[in-house]
Amino acid sequence: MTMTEARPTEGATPTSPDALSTPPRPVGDAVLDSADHKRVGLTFLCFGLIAFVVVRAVGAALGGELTQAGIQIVGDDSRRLYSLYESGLVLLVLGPLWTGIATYVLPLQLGASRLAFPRLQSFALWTTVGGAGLFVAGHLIDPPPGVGLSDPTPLQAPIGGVNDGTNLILVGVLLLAGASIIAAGNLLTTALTLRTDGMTLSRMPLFAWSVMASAAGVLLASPVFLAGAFLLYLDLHFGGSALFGPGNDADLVWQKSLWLYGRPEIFLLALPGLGAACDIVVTAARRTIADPPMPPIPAGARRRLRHPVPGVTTPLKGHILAIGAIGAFVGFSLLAWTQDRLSLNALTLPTATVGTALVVLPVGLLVLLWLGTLGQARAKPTLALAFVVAALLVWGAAAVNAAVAGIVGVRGHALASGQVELVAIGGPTLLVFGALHHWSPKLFGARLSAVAGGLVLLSGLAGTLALGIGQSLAGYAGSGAHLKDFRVSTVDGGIVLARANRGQGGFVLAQVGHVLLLFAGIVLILDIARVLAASRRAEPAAADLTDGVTLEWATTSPPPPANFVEVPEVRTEAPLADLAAYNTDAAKETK
Amino acid sequence: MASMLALPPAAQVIERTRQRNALIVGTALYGLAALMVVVGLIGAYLTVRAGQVAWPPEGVKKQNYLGSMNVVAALLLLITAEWIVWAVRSDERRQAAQATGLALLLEASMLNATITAIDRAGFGAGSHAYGTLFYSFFVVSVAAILAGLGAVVLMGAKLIGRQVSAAESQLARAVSIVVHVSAITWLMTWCTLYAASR
Repeated sequence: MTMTEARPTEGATPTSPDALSTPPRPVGDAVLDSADHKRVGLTFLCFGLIAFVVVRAVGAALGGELTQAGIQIVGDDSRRLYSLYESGLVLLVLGPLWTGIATYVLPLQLGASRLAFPRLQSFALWTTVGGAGLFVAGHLIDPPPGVGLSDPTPLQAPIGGVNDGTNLILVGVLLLAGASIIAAGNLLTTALTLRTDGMTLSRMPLFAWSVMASAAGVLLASPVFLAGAFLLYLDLHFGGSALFGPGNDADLVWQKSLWLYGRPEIFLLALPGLGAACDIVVTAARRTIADPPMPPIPAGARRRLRHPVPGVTTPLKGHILAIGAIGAFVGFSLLAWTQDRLSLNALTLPTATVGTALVVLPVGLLVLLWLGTLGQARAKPTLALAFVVAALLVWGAAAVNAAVAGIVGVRGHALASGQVELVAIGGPTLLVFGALHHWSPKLFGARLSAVAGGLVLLSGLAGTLALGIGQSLAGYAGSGAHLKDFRVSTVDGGIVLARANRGQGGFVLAQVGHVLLLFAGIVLILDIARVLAASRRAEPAAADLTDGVTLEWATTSPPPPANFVEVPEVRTEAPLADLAAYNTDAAKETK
Repeated sequence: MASMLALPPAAQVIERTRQRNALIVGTALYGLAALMVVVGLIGAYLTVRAGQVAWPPEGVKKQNYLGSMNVVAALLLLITAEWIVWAVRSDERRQAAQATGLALLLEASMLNATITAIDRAGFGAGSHAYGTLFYSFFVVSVAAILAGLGAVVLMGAKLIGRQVSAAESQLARAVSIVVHVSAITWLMTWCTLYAASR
């Protein structure tokens, strides 16, 4: 086994054509022993996709029980599996998927040959895998108290003391939180220090900006989660009373530090998706984000405004506005977190907290900028763009749902779960799928199949809408989704989940959604496996400068070990468009 | 437009990515994350305290002497860390070694005082909410002090091996950040548990 791997030398430029080919290594060594950000990123992605299928399968099993009274699929394991499902979607699926894409793509977008701390990202990867293993094992060997971190109330130690399952879950959560902090710090350091010459912060691609902003948010918020998990550990193990004592505000501590759906990360999971959507739009339009129209002001004042900042040609530059929107999204997410204990309603009713309502504004601004960019450029429709539209449809449905819920006044748990599926899970998941299709030549060596992608798009969109709306309909009918809302009765010696007879149609629709999402995940994994297997046998495809305008498109697919043979000079936020314009001019002059 | 953007051939502009003090920036970011753990504990402490009538609970005797001595050590540590950086940047190797030795002593004394304070606390983590929070703060403080101790030991080893110079002073700055974080962690702990406690 190769014990060491030559670290790419910073500043060195591989000029030999050999640099374009990846040296052959056994697959096991390449994955376990590598600090190459591309391999680490791909392993993160594989882990996240497998977790997606497993967690969705658990959701389908749980949903099957709710479609008809008396059905037994998981029986008295349903409580622990519900905890695994709700927490797993955040901790095991969306977090690792975005980390994987960012780990792979960020250095390419910055023109860097590596991450700031390559081995540290590998450490974060395997800490994530280990933590996830403990987290899942904890749910399987013993029933955890309550329904875990997805519940807005603290979980109590079982009578007779904490069990092994809870121990494993807590240690797993601590490891997962630690790994997310390590990965976020590494990505943020990379963005701040390893940008190629000429790439100022204002010229960074918008996905890189969104990764930087969400990494900053994770660095600020995840340590609080870590502190809360440590308090919980002390409470459960030593009989402490920081969270469970009489007279203290345990619910508030829990909701602001540990409850997954009351934390800012739940919004931050959408943030890299917004950045990826910006890059998808920019690539489809083959231009930078369009500048918004100048306000109707007198010509003299307009001339004075035209050059307010050196290098910025108009006071309302689209790229800068998009960066501002990304920053505002993070700010408002953290603001929503600091507000009162209405976090559950924050997902149900967008007007429940000012911060939550404000989160909508930067998203709306980004959508307007996208429409303006696509309208001005005669953009070619792409599958990745369709995923962006699908995510916007899902969020639109969630907004309508929240407005209706606000008018009707429904506060049922099923409605809240439906909104979580639409806002926090469904939209970001579709954007992950879109990002995978967008960067598939770089990630996997070739484009994913359009047919399979279409299947994933349709089943993913339909599944997300069916799941979210189905659960919401059950909530409107007065049903709960959390298991504690169900009466438990004994039938033939077993435990059966009984529920109110209302809203059964909604649960059936939600079950259709579970199955469709599971199908989408399986199709995507099979497609990726097919492309990866084919690309291992093929030579890397040469860079095509017409593929995009940012630096990742200036290298081969997949990129060589040091990422670039040469990095184009960066003078604007669209260096490849500049290069194409230069080449066109040069060709004309030659003629 | 195109003529204004005319670029020289790509082969002539192959100046590559350069390291811009990634070690310093990364250490500062991870240090910030470590301090956010303490901030999270402070938030929990204030929230829990708001719902209590008697705080700290009856029978809790605060170790003011040990806590205050640790504050003095932490303040000295902040200055000593800057002394290390100044000495390395000035190529004053002897002074760098002296500053590192002093930092090592201060970190060790802080560790000793913190562990002694835990030993003499007289209550357990499960005794009451104050006890749970007290031990949380102290465990985090001990971890931060151990990290600072490790960083100073690393600095000493690098100095002995002559691997630190004025031209490559990034390590000294990174070590100083870790030391700062360990000292600030204790100062935040002291402010919460001792100075601001009712």
